[in-house]
Amino acid sequence: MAFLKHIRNSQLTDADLVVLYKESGDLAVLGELYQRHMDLIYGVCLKYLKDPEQSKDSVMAIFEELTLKLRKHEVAHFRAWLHQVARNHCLMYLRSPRNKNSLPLPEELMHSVENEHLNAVMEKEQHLQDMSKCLEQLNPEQKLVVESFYLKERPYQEIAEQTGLDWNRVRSLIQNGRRNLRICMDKLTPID
Amino acid sequence: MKSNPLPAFDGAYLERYRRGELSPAEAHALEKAALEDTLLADALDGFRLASLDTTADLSMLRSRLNDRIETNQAVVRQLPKTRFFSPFMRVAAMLLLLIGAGWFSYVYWIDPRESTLASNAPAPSPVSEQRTFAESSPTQPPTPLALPPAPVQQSESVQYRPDRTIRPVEVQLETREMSSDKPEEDLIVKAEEPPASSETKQIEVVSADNTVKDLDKVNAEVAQKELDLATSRQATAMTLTAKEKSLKRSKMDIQRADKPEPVAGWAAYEDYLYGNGSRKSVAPTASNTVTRWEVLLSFEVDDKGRPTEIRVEESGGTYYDGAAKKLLVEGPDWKPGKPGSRGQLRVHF
Repeated sequence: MAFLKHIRNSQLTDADLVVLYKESGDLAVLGELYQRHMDLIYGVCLKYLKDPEQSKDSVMAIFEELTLKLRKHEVAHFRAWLHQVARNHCLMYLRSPRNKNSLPLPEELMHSVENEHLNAVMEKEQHLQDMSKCLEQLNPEQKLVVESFYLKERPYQEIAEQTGLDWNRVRSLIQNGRRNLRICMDKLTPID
Repeated sequence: MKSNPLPAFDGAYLERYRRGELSPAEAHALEKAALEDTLLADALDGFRLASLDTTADLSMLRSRLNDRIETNQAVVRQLPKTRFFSPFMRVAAMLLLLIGAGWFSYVYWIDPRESTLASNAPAPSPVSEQRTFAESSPTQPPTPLALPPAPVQQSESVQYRPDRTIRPVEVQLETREMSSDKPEEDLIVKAEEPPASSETKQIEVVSADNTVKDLDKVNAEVAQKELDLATSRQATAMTLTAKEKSLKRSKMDIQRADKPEPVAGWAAYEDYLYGNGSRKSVAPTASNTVTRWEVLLSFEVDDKGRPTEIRVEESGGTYYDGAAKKLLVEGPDWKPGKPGSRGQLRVHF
């Protein structure tokens, strides 16, 4: 029966499993849901905590948080909500006096925070004509990296090797170029 | 949006990215997806910064999660058995329920008096009329019973004790012995019709009259019914209980001297009860198959000789309480007893 249950649950979407867990409180349902994203949560914990053992413990602690929080809160987008819960858990861990000095948060990992609202904006990438105009307005370094990434579809590593730039520098240029493109395209095509 | 694609970029895929095992197209697709998915972007950073192989860690995490779920389910399965639904608890709960139901039935549904009357009712006794005596004095002759004019089809019989020979004389001697030390004892007159009749009626009155007559006549009547009594041992055993109750009441009634009594005497009052049509008015209805009920009333007598302050001491039900009160209110006048004393009238239906 457990096997059949697993097959049945695996065919459900995240939203379906959320509803099912809220109704039944079945931990197996939540386990099925959590397991879909657990690898990435581990990666998030690794990013912030930089310690595999502590990251594994945090992954299990986050699961325990979900058993309670998911029944209390209305969750529209489970994946984004789970990411927020995981990141908050890690930050709370780092901010606690016991762990404050042991695991300093590297500044280079904070770059992605400012890009949380880019998802909706990227829908406008279809406006290629506008993009081409805006690409001309980027500085040469950003233009080179963005064109390599979006038009030539090169990975970070190849771009870094071709340009001689650091991997993180490549990603930073791409992210900044995306932001400048968004600003430029918003001016050309105002959002309704 | 119903469709929710499963994550294409899992831990193994990110580990391959970390090792540089992905093709440029795969790596680019992953990086592009990470730009739109902050969770994936953070995870990608985490895996890229990992110094060791994460495959074993991911496998261990899955194992820990499964253990956690299975442990919880085992606890959930085990809790009800051990705490709430064990066989012992089920048996105990059932016994408790049965005991409670039995007690409730006994207390609220079984009326001991009704059950006694019911057990008397179907007795196959040919007795159609019973008389009991409590003599006021052993030296005085017995008084004739103040019986109503019996219907033609009715016959007479006398109670007896089943552990003795069926001789009503002995019964009377016994009652005489029991009351011999109380010369001032009141007379208890009890007349009862057979329970099988729809017009059965039993009236018991308390009298201060100390004269008892015609004991010989009663003895003769008893002798005539001796054979009938021999065939109804079981029924008479039950009526013995009623007789014992009557004797107890007589002892209680001894203390009722100087209480109000009918102006015309108890015999005339009894005639009133039988003769003024009240029998029909208080007879059980067709729907009420109980053949005998009794009501004990207490009352005061005013200056005009009318009963007032009527109170039901022993109820026979709302219907018979009202019928007895009606008989008393509409009946003959009473002589007041001592000041403050209350008269009593027991009416059997």
